[in-house]
This record gives sequence, structure tokens and C-alpha cells, in this order.
Amino acid sequence: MLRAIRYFLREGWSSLWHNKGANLLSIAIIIVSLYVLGVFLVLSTNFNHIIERWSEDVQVNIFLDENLSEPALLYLQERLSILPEIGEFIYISKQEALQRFQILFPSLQTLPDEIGENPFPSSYELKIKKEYQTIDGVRGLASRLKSLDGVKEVSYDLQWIERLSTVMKLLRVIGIFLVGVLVFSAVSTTANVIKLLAYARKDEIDIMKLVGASSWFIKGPFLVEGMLQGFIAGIISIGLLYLSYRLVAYYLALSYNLLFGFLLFTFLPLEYWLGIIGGGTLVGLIGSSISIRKFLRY
Amino acid sequence: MIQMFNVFKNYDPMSPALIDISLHIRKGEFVFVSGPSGAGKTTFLKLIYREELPTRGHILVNRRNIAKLPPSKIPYLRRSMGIVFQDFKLLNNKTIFDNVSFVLKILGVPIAITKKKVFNMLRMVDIHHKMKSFPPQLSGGEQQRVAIARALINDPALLLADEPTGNLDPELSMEIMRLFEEANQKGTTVVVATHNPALIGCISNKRVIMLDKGRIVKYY
Repeated sequence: MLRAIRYFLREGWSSLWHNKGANLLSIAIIIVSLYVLGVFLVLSTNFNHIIERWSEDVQVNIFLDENLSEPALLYLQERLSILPEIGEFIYISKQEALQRFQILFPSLQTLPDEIGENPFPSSYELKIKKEYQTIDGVRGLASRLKSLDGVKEVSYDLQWIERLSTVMKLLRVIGIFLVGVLVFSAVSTTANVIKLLAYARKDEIDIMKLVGASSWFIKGPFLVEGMLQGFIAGIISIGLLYLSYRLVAYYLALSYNLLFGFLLFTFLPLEYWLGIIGGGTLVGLIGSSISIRKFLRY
Repeated sequence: MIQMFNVFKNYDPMSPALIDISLHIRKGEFVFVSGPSGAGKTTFLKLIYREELPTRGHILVNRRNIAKLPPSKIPYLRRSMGIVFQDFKLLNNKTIFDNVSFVLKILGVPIAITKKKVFNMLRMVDIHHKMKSFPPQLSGGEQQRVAIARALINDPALLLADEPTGNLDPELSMEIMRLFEEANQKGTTVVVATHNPALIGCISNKRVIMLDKGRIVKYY
């Protein structure tokens, strides 16, 4: 078994080397598909990070009715304390809200006097527990809060996150489609390249069959050749991805220091690297096994 | 070893290659299949190593009906045989050593044993001094000797040879026939297709099947 694997590896590598031209074409096509896949993975990983980070700061405010009685306020407070999503909450009275406004906007300090009354409603500031800091979680909580007695309005700043996650969903759909097309073309290119190589060695394959070589013994080196194509393409595409990532990060950091420096904060984690290299190897394996089959019929 | 029952083979319905062949070649026999060009000798051998299927009739090799052999079992059938092809069928991108050792590699023979066996076999057919050469660098006769070495390397139960001395001078032809005879004495069943009557004369204990236009015309 080990001897056979060694033989497959040696023959596969030797054929890859001897047919550099055709194999390079195949490797290049696999690189393109893996590179595009990688770009989408980098983007989606980073968008996910951003969404996670922004979601951590989600705060929900509920504004209360003007004439809420003391018992009604206590009842509301009790209801808030039993809601599982809420970590802690603080009550902001009308007076406190006014003071905050005056601190934040000193130039508008006299505005309430001019209006003649305190226009700010009393409210609760709610901190959401980490496990509920998702868009759906916050949206669900807000709609339940709205239905509580004494609650006039619920506000939460999720618009940006919602938009970003819509962009991400779109990106994912485009990515899946594009990568699908590219993977298909990579598989068919590998299949055709291996078919050409097998065709050039048809006599050799026939002789092997005549002297008693099994199908596995004949196709093993071709499968290894296809897998090597994908493996090499996987490694090169990871290298290219990293280079592009560093370049883009560098230029964006120069131009839009804060925003994009924040956007491009991570490269792909190790398991994605392995996934891309494994994916490339699989593309090569599928391509070569499709093409070699017809040469092995007895 | 080989039994044929009313075997017909047609590549083209108008000119059948073999017509109603029935015979029995016993284990350990030395058999010549003789006849002029186009008599059906090569087809006869191809049917035995399952390169071709009979149009009608049955062929048993080692009591197995080879027409019903599943494709996955064909390599095992061929591994029990040594075949010398008329056009040698050597792997041109492999050295002479690799061509002969390939058969042992398929069988999983350890490298140390393979090296020794291959060298001895190449010496027997007097081509060991060219074991690092490639087939296109060799003359027809030399390539034929390599093909013979490959056929004999795994001590096959059955040796099939199609015009094995076609490119050899008479002296070397006799030498090769002696090798076949030696293999036969060790128990290998030998079937040699030839149109050369002189070759038949050099083996004493043999049978001859004469073919002409696809039919057995003489059997002795």
C-alpha cells in the first residue's frame, strides 16, 4: 500500500514536471477561482467582525408616557427586570434628561426655558445581554417592549448594522454564484488537461492494462497529478491573497485612516487557509478522476 | 489450462477472423499456433488474454469462463500470464529496467528482490548491458528480448508469445526458444504463434495447431 502511494506520488510529480505547460494552465485557473473565493471569505469574515463589534454596543431606549403614575412605573420596572434579554437598566427622569441635554449642548441651554416646559420624556436605558445582541434578538425585544403599558416609543440604533448585514447577504449570494462558476470552470479545465495528458499516454495506459495493472494502479498517478495541481494552486492563492490583503490594508490605511483601518483588521484564520488548500486539492482530484475514467475501460 | 468451445470471432461479418474453434490446451503443454499471415493467430491469442471477446462460443482459462469475467478481474487474469506482443508494447518513456520491473511492481514484489530478478532476467536474454537505455534507443531485436524478459519475469502460469522471434537472427531465436522451453519445463504452459516452420522444429515435445483463414486445418 505504502509502496503504491510512493509510486503514485513519484509518477504524479514527474508527470506534473514533464508537462509543465499544460499543468500551469490548469493551476492558473484553479488559482483564479480560489483567489476569488478567498476575497469573498476575507470580506465576509471582516464584515462579520464589524457587525459583532457594533452589536456589542447596542443600547435600547424606551421613552415613557407623560402622565405615568408611580404604581404604573413600578409595574413597568418589574416587567423589565424579568425580561431575559435585559442585563441592566437605568431610569432617566425628565429632569435628568434635561440636564444631560444641557451638558451635551451648552449653547442650547436656554432652549427649554424658551419653550416654557421640559420637552424631554422620562425613559429607561436598557443594556442588552451579549447572547441577545443580534439583530433579530433586538428587533424582537423592541416589539415586545412597545406593547408594554406606559411605553410611548422604543428606539435602538441598529440601522447601520441592518444595512451592513444586508450588504453581507448580497455579497454572500454574489460570492457563492461567482465561486460556483469559477470552481466549475476549474474542475473542467483540470479534467481537460488531465484528459489531454492521458490521451498523450494512451498507448502507455493500454500497455499497463495488458500487463495486468489494476485500474487503481493506472489512475493513481493521474489523480495525484490533479491533486498536486490543486494543492499548488491553493498555496499560491493563499500567498496572493495575503499579499493583496497587505497592499489594500496599507493603501486604505493611508487614505482613510480610521474607517478602513477598522474594516480590514483581520486576514483569514488558519482553518480557512487549510480549507482553501483542501478545496483546491479536491478540485484537482475531481477533475482528474472525471477525465481518467474513460481510459480505464476494458 | 485453455479450453475453447465452438469459438467464432468476427471483426467484420464478411470476413470472420476465427471460425468454429474447439480445442483443449493442457497445463504444462508447449503449443505452437501456426499458419500464414491473416490466419487468425493473433486473434487467437487476444481471445485468451481477454483483449477481445468471442462473437460466439466459450473460452475457459484455468476453468474460468473469461467472457463472463468482470472488468475488475481482468488484471488478475493477465497477471497470471506473460505476453510477448508482436509489436513489443514497451513503455517508451521508461528504461529497460523499469519496463521489466513494472510487472513486479504491479504485483507488489519488494524492491530488493525486484532488482535481483530483473537483472538476472535481462542477463538471460543478453540485454543487461542496456538496462538504463530507453526502448527507442534499442534495435528491434533488442526490444523483442526486453519484451520476452518482461513476459517471463513473474514466472507466469501461461506464456503467450506472438511471433516472438520475428526480429531476431536464427541463433538468438534458438536461444529464446530454449528460454521458453526452460520455462515450460518449470511448469509454464507455453503458446507460441508463429509463421516460421523452422521455429517449430527446434522444440521436441510440442503440439501444433495449424490455422488458415480462421479455421483449424491441422492439429497434431
